[in-house]
Amino acid sequence: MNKDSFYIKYKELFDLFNGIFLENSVLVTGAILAPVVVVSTSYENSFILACAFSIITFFTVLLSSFVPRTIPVAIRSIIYTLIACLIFIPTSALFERYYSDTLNKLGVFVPLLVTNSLIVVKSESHFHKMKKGRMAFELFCHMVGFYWVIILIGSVREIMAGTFNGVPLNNFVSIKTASLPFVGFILTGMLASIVQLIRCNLMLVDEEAPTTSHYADVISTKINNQSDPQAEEEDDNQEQPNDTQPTDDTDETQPTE
Amino acid sequence: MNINEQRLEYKSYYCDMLICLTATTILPLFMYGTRVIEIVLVALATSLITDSFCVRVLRKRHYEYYDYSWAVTAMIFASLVPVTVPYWVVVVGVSFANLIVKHPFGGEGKHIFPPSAVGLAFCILTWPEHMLKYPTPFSTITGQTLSYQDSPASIMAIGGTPSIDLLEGLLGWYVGPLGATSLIIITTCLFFLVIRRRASFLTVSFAILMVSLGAIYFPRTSTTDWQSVLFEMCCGAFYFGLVFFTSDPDTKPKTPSGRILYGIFVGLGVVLYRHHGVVELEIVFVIILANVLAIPCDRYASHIRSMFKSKRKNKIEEIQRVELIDITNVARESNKDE
Repeated sequence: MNKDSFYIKYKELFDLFNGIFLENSVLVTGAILAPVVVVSTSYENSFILACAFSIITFFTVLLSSFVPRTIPVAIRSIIYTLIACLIFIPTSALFERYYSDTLNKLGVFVPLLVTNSLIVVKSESHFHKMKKGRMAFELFCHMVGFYWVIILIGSVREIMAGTFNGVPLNNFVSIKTASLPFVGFILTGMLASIVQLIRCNLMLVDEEAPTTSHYADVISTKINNQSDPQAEEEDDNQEQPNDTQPTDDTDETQPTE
Repeated sequence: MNINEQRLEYKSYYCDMLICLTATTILPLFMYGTRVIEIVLVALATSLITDSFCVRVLRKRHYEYYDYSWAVTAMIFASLVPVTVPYWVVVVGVSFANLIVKHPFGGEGKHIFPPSAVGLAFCILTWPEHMLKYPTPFSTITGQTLSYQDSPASIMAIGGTPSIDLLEGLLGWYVGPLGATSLIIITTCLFFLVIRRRASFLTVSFAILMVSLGAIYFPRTSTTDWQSVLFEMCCGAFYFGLVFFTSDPDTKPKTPSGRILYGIFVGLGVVLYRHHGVVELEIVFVIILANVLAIPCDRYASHIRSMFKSKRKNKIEEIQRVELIDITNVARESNKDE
């Protein structure tokens, strides 16, 4: 373990930017996967989705942090979604004005962004526990993380299909299936595996951070703790012959005495 | 079975498969010329390079001496393409099979779909103009002009009747994929694989039964029943796919009743695809779907079996009860008489 590594030295700084890469909301947690896989078939689609996601999520999480904590969690989640719906109205109007055709192509996936897991789940469990400034910065990092993933996948799929930003690429073998969801799944899976590889390498360097082996140790200790009564019984059973042996010996020795 | 025995088992399985797959590529040599060998060699070389790259470079392991899965993948892929397919399609398809389908799931013995089937499906969907355009037999041999013909599958898809007689069907002298046309060679391979316990006769026979029933009761052509069955066997590389894809030891069901259920699913899938699908070589897509059902097939088959057993038990108990009641009634009556 190299404690002097660059990552360990500046870990606190790296943690601020986790949303971009190491805790990427698409590649690591698997949230907001559907629009990336299904409709990010071109650069323009991806750009609109990324912008809509950024506007809706950023302002929703920011505004929802002012919702009083006295309201039950279940109702708070509904309120967050309602706030997202309210923000969606001007956002869709904005995109309708400039990209109406592409917005129609994206179909239900843009409205569905109001229920994305960053708003419904992670805002409650992660973002609202922070100070406003840090929350805004981490949210921004998550936006950037989503942006680069969807733009990369959309652009690659469009290039595979033989065009880029609507311009046909000459002398290029087009893959018609690039717009099908399975290609999106494959590309996302490949990117996720690369991120996971880098994460594992970084986590192995960091002694304090939980690694896969750490989790394995935790699970094994839990299993051992659960199976302790059985182990105790077995120990008891094993001890019994040892206990009886001296008595036998004593029994044997008694007559001699 | 220990690891060494398992490895030997795998090795002999791959050897058997390779023998059969080599046999299927001999007849096309006479029909299409030396390009058959070129396609097979390109597929084999690509498969060896990509597989060894994944094993040695990405997974950092030694190459196992018993592992000929790369060769089987390549040979199956090469057998199901038309002889005029460009080499780069073969390279992309086989690379896709190894790099995307086989190794991300753990490599040999751990894949959930047959790699060659997924590679073929990818190529069929992406480049149908190369993958589903078949030359007329004997037209690719040097000195003759190259001509293309509609395959039996495409003719039957529009309600037509292919011109294939029994002899042509048995010998494979009709338009179709490179090594998947000769019924007699594939049947010989099937018997060889069944005797060597590689292929499941139950799966194959029940799938054929379902397709034959579909051909008789829901015919796609206006011919006699047996001709309809022959055409359904000949088109879409159904028979080839059935024999070679369903004998994969990693993806086929483990119990005999599960294999029957699996065969029924495959047969039904083929019939449905042929009536409602738009893509030829439907067996590839059906096998990919059926592999998802392979494990549930085992489970549901055991459920059905236990259900029948319990029903039979109940019936026996009822019969015994009725018999007892009859005996007691007879005894009472005899007592009354006395």
